Amino acid sequence: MRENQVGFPPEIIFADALKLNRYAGFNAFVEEVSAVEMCDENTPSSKLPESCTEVAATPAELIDKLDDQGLDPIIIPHGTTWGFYTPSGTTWKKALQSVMKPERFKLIEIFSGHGNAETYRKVNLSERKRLANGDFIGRCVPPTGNYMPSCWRAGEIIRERCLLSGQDAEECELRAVEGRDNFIGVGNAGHLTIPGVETEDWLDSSQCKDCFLPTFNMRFGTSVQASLATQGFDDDSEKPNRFVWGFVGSSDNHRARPGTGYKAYQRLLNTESSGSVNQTWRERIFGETQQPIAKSTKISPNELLKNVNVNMLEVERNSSFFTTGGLAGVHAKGRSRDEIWDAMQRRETFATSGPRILLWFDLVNGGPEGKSEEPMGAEVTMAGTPEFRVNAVGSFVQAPGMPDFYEKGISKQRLQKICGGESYNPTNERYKIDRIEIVRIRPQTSPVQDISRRIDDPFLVKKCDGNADGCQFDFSDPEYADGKTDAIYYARAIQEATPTINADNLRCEYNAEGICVKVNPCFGDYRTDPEDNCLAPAEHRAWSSPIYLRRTDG
Amino acid sequence: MARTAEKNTWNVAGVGAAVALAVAVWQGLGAPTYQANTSMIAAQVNDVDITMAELELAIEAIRRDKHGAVTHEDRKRALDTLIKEELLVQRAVELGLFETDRGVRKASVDAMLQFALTRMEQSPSEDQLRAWFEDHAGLFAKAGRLRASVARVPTDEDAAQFAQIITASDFPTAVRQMPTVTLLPVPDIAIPPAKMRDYIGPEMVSRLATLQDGDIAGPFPQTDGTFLFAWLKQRTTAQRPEFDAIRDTVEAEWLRSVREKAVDDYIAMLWRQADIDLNAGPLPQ
Repeated sequence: MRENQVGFPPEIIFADALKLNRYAGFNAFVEEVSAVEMCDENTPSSKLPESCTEVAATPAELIDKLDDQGLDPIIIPHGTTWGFYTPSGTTWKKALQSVMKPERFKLIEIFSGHGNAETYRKVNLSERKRLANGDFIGRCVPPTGNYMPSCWRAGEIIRERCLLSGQDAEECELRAVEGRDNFIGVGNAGHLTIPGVETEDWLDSSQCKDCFLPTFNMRFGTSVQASLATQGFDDDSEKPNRFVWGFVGSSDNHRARPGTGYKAYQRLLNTESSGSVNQTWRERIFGETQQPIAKSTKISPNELLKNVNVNMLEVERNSSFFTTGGLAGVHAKGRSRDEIWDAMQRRETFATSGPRILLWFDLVNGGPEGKSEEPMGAEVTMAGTPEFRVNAVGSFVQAPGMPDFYEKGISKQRLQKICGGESYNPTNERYKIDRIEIVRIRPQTSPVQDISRRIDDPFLVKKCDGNADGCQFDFSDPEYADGKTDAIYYARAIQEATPTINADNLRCEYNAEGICVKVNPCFGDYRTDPEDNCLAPAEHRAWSSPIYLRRTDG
Repeated sequence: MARTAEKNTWNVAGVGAAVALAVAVWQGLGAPTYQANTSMIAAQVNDVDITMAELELAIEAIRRDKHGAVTHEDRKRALDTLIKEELLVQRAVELGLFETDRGVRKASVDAMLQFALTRMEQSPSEDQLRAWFEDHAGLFAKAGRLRASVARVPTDEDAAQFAQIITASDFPTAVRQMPTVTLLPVPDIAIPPAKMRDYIGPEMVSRLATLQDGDIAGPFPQTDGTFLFAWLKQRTTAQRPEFDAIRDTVEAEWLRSVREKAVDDYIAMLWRQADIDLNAGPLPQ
């Protein structure tokens, strides 16, 4: 924002003259932000004036600066699997180095308006290496199971065009390989190497096909499950670095309206979806569509950096992955700010995918006598068989509109403006909890271990009986007592399916082999009717914070 | 509902929208850094003036975006843009776009609402504010608290048995003595009604509102054939803070309500001045 953001140029402002006030306001904001000087890097954070902007280049630096100010923050990584701008192949390894102070992070966002960051999938990743001249070279790996990387799809797009143009198969294979290489060379901007490509041409490449509300271009290496299975071994293989964090959900809808997951309505109001109002504006923002040709274009990173603009990212395909956002639940001792903060520090939190599902998860035989209950988020040292209890209650079915009493404090017009006339409005009936799933993760004991084998998802499934007051069950894990490694357990309560915005993401049409052959993206722009909420059934859920079990020596 | 209006009304609205736009630009850009010569006309478009003031505002928009000096070309471009805008507005009026095009209509309405807000009173006297605070005490009162227990009983026979045990002893005893009875997961602390609603639903919160401390009520039949009993352990009444402790909050709320009223009053004025015919037939479903 400080260095790269410019205001709207006059041509744009006067082309949309009836919104002059908004453009002028934004330009004034950009000017105001840019006018603030950067702080002196050599001055300690606690000695800096309030009139400069300070930055931290790494998580460790952030912690050091906040420590210097005498603060005790809760820093929550969010959107860790969102592949909008994060490179493919990203993992937690760097963040788990001891210099990055992984032990200082208490919570992680597992779900937001950008999707679900929970799940790890083992997929072969393309390799990419930087040359001395700044260019990248790499190898695009073929599809793994049902996962097709976009670099591979790039090659297929070129191949299809090439064959249609009448070239022979051998020539088209060469061009397909070149297309993949050129895509790899510019990473997340790879779509720019295919002239005249449309959003639909990418089908569902680089997307998780069997995840619940996945993030766009999901980066499995930085999923929450990967964060628990991976350990950092830089200093001490006997005591590796690890994350010990609780889970929260958030909105991240960029709408200044938290907690929009209560109903699936007004997609453009309640998710981050947005876009051009017509073809003319689309071309103003993204440039005119090029002619599709049967050959990809090589673009160097340096060329890319000279033309930084919104077109560098897959903005349009991303719109099919925005959700109405999640919630953070807290088991606090009271409702004061301090009590809620303390509960978050203790990791006694849970996340939901939007609805107000209630969830409890406890170790019931903790403590030296094996009689004390330890709640979600606890870190417990024990050697015997752990025994757990889970209790989940479905959210209330929502009535249309709003409770009558809202209008006593705020006008109908204002309610309409804030939330489009629909608010959290519970009936007396609850959705059923369909099942409870337990995930067990045994953290790596050596860096060469394949983390996919350390994640048991699901470890257990309890099918619930549709009780109105929810679902409860007890379970234990004798394998823990027999084994040698630490273990992490968390509960996932799954509610019966309800219509959900973007639950079908790109809305594929499949052939007889189950391969996506055509997509109908849910655009944020004029190409999808604003009244179309792109609904499909989804089983909303709540995730407990994990309970971390550590071994004793005997 | 059909609505007819003289074309004059929309001409007035069109000019009003243009004026509102100028006001909105003024508000968005802040005061220009030099004095505008408001007596001069920069151009006329079909007898509609584009003043030097409007031109200077447009040039200011360009100046803020440029990193160099505003050139003659910039000034010419600004004037050309204002002329084009005026032509478009006039043509929109001729074509009746203000009557038909949703986007144009919405943008015009937004602009007019901004215009209405510039007419309202900006800050109250102390007496005004205190009087307003007394009249709207409910807005600032903290919610009361409820501490309660709710039990679910599976059948009507069990409900009758539960009711009998309660009259003889108490709620916890009845729950202990009947294994088929389950307690809803309500925390045993005092929480606001809105939070209690998350645990027991709106109907049971309404039931609790009718009870006194210690009262037990039920059975309340549920749609799934079960029955609920409620025990209100304690109610804490709502408290209103002192004016001096929350004066800033009260003033912000006053300002917000006055802005809403200003818009309502302005629209009411336009309504009174307009000639509006209503279709006497039924409204469409």
